[in-house]
Amino acid sequence: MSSHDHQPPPPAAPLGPTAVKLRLAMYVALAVLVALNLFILPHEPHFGIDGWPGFWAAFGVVVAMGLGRLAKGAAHTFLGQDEDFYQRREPKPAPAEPVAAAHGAHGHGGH
Amino acid sequence: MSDFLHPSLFFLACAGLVWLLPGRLGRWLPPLAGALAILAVLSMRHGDYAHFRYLGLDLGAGRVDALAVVFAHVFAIQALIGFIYALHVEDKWQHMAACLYIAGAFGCLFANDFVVLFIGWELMSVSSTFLVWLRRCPASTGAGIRYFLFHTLGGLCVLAGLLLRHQALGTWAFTAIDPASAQYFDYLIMVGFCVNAAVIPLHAWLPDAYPEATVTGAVFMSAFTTKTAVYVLARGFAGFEILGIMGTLMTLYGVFYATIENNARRILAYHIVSQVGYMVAGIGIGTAMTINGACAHAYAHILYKGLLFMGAGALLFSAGTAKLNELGGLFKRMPWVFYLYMVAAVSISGFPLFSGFVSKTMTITGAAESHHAWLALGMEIAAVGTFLSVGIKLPFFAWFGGPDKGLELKPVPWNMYLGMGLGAFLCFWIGIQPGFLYHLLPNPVEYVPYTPWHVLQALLLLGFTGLGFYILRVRMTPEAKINLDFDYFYRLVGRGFLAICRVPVAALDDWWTEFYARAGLKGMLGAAAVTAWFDKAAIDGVVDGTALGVRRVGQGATLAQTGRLQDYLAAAVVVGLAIFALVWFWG
Repeated sequence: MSSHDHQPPPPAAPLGPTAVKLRLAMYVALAVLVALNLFILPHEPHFGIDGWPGFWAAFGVVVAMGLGRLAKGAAHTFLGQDEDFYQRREPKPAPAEPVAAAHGAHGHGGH
Repeated sequence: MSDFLHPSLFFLACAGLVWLLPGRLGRWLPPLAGALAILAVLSMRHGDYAHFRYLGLDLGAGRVDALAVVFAHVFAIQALIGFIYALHVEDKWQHMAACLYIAGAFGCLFANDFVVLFIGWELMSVSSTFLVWLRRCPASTGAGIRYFLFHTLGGLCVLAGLLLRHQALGTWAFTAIDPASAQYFDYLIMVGFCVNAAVIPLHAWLPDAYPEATVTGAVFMSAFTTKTAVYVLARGFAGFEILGIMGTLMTLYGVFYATIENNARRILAYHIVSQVGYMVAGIGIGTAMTINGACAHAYAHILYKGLLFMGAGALLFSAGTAKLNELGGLFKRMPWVFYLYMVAAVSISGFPLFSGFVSKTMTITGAAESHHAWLALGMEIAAVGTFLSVGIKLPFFAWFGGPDKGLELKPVPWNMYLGMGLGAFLCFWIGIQPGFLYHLLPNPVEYVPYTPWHVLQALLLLGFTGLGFYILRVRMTPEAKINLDFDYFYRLVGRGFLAICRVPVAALDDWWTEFYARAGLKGMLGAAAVTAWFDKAAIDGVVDGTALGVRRVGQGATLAQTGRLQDYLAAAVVVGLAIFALVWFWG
């Protein structure tokens, strides 16, 4: 079963210079969005706390990480199977009966 | 031009012509049928058309109203885009199957009664099965058979429901059903519709079959089957609370599986379940805004989901695989497929300036404003999962995610780029001109998508989803696995049936063979000897030609017994259509 042979993922490869710059740009953009959220707020919050500044930022990152971990955890414990899982469970076809024997068994010849 | 020209006619005629012409010529006709269908939809006026009397029933195939037109509009556009994308395909059977499939979808859209609806419904079921089988590999054959059996089951639910409904109410009319007075036969019809809408747990045929369909067939199937089901649910079952709950569960279930799947087309298939969930939820909540949201989302979804399948199909066509663990690092060699795919990815994720933003937020806001805040919250969670899996994970691991693995790539034909380009343009156009879509919707639109808060909320949600992926990117690496779903249980039922055939039925067969060999065969040989004597003595010379004729018929019948279910199904459809034509002509 595949669920028992899961190996922990290897560590992330170090980022190149372009990727480092992109990561910095992402952090700056996210900070700007949170700063804007201090001034721009929802018209009608539906749960109360969804009107707080930063709620939807926290919601995004928490749900993304929670979903990723939950789904991957389920895949590694009981959902994930080898790609040939269903093929291996198919019933094997019965061995073909030799034509001559089958012909003879019915006891009638050609004409 | 007439006030109503049924678009199905173009596709039915096209299927016939494609059959007659060689594949190289015939493939140019379907885009023409798509263009004519667009003209027909643009020129039709609201009203009831195409009434006819058949087998003693008064039927109608031309109900044109706002709800039908919004779907017909996008069906025609996507038919044209899909056939342009498929222009390089020389297998005429694929074009014929797609034409018949789309004809069936339009038949359902304009059906005024359950009888016409059912004919279109079944035409879609049979022809779309061929879009799976025509990939011509063992995996697609198996998936196609499962797909067909499941849709047959759904079709039987619809058939039983409509017959019982007629028995009880004396009408075939397909009109809105009041949730307060719905009867068991109405729920039977709803279950049949829910099969095609991929409502969980009736959904597993979709991620099973779509990844195994032909490259171009999956593009068509992503547009028509589930959205026709959304249309009939909106027409008949708006306001059924159970649909609101099941729809929200679908949005979550689909993204959960999309997060862990490895095959790009299966990720997209699970995302259909999720996205159709928004529509089913909007219909179930049943307010004017959520019904509008469901229709708007269906319109936007058909375009961006078609584009996503076109992008993943281009990967499969070019690299020979759609498995993310086998892809990676393709950006430098397939940049335009990536850019076009990303237009659809940001559209489905609901980024401002793209189509999903103006449609998805309408359903969520409608749910929240109608005091279904928990359903709205579920849909927001699904929005995060959508961007995580389709917007980031899939493109990251297909086009980036490490060095180029050196796969040999087949050039992507120009027509595939053109189809994707048209889809991308419309995703962007609807995003910046939402009025283009909103003026088609069945109810007056009061929703304003571009407010500072809506834009900021979308950017916050999606931006921080990106941060979550960045933190988890190693853990999210795709693996060469499949994930168990409800089809595990379908297959158990299938294996159980086979076991019944293998043990008791096989024993009965063995007994009968033995009995036949001992008793029946001897009796027949004796009778044969008598008739042989009679034949020689009396008949020879009179009807010698009969024997020759019988032998020829026998040879023909032998050739027809190929043992392949798809051949028998095609023959059944041809015979059915012939009987239909004869009854029509003389009836």
